[in-house]
Amino acid sequence: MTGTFGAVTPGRWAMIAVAVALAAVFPLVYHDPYYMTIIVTGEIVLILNISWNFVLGMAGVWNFGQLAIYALGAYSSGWLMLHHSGVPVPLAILFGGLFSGVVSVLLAFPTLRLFGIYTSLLTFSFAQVIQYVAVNNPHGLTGGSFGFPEVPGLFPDLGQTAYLRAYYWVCAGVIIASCFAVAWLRQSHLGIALRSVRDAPAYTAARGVNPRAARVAAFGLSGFLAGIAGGLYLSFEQSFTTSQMGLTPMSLDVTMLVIGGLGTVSGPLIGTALLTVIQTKLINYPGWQLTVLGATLLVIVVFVPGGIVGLFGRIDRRVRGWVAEDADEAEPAPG
Amino acid sequence: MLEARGITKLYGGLQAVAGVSFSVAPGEVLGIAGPNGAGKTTLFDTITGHTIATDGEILLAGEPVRGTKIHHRCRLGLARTFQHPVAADTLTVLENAYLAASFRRGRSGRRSRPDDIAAGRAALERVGLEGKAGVPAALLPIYDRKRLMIATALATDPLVLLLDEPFGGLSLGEIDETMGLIGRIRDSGVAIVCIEHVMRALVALADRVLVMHHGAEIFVGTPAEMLRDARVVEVYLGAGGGGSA
Ligand SMILES: Nc1ncnc2c1ncn2[C@@H]1O[C@H](COP(=O)(O)OP(=O)(O)OP(=O)(O)O)[C@@H](O)[C@H]1O
Ligand SMILES: [Mg+2]
Repeated sequence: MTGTFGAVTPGRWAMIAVAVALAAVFPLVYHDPYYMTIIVTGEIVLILNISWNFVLGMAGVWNFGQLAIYALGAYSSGWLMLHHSGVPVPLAILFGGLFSGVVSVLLAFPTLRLFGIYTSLLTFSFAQVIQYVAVNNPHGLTGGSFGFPEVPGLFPDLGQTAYLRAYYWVCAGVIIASCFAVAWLRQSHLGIALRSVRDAPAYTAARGVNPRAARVAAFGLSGFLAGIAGGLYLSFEQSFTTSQMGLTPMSLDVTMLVIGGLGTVSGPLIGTALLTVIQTKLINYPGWQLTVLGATLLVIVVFVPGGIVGLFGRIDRRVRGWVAEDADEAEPAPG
Repeated sequence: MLEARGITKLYGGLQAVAGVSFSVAPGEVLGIAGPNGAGKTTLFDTITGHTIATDGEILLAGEPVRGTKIHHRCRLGLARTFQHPVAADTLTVLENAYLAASFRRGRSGRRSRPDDIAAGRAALERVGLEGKAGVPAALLPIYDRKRLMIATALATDPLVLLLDEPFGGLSLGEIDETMGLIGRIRDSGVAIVCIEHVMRALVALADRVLVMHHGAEIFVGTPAEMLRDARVVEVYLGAGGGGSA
């Protein structure tokens, strides 16, 4: 019984179960191919955002190379799908995840030597270099700005409705698994060490934590999930263009994270869902898409710095009284 | 237990620490005094590895540690507190203590979460914070934050404890309680180095005092000798008191 921080209460388990059940039956009652495509794409963006939130929010490293890591997952899994067609597609996607995880670890070493704005500059430059190389389509490996060639995908034999439904479920499964993984990691020894390093680096090192080792691990895990998202995107869309890792998707993803609540488990879910809906509503007014994006970000940063999850947390606490809540949520069970 | 020889730290042209030497034995309290900017905190930083000394030698339990990493020195048995109370704010009090305990000196083999939590709890009990185990550190008042910093230091099971102004910002009653706490830690056999401006506490606790001025040591001796030393009196009065007495 001892040894669990932040144990999930029965009430919350019930909520999670209901949400998962609703999400699972949704594509059985809803078929519109246009919106289903948007939803599945949104799911993949959500997987990417969960991965980015881990390194940005939980580890607190201002890594702006995540979309390049995501793209490398797409390219490396696509390479396997195209040139080694004997390899099952799920394994190719897994390979993309591993490849991205390794690259992310390699990116971590120079990045973690730097502080503050230099962290962002280095990782941002890394993303720019990867994008530049990809645009030039070396050895036909990336397809350049025209996009990666068509790949078999996970479900080559399914009709449109079944295809969308199958991808929806696969992505939902990955999302649920990653949420549980992140929630577990958050309370794990690594997660507690990462959050402590984020809050107070000099203090945490003086308590025996090796900050660099913890953060390198965070880069690896985060890169792995980003690579999975890249492989899923490529196999679902049957294409991956270099604009996927451009500045526009990057700012959209960051906004989603900040609006939802950086460093929380449910933040990426809420932020991604909300902005996907808003952006889809405004799809015929491209000028407004960016304006609304910027305005929302500004309002959140100024008035609700903890994001929507932080806001709910505050209201919740005000209702229940923070002492009582913290006592039942954060104290390990006795015994 | 801890021995520093000729520690020097240059920041550009500034000699923040200029050839300071001292040693401290288990169960002993070495006080460090000196006016603002004397280099006391910087001396701690060189010993813990938060900055690398320009010159000098640091021996921790006989092992030279200058140039090694902060966390490595912690695991060898060196713990410190900071002048400005700091903790992992978004973690609870117990999570803070658990993390420190998971790296305690001599912890062997695989990490065991129940053991580490128990060790963290025990450290909280030593400073009287066990009742706030579930509270996020950010919500603690200053006295509790300072006690938490000492508790997490104790959780690492240190041989040497460096305290940077443990009484700063505390009320008279809290100062007395903290003096009692530091006395108990000393009696448990930990070697303590304590930077302090509060002379009353320093005189009561320290076996010996080292006084610094402009990076250099200007006095080493017992607290009673310190109060009679002409240079110390001059430095303190000349520097406008150098803090509360
Ligand atoms: N990172 C740094 N870079 C440059 N100079 C520094 C740095 N840290 C400290 N100093 C300088 O070194 C000198 C010693 O500072 P230090 O903080 O060690 O003094 P202190 O004795 O702890 O003072 P206080 O009683 O105010 O805490 C000061 O002149 C300070 O400005
Ligand atoms: Mg100081």
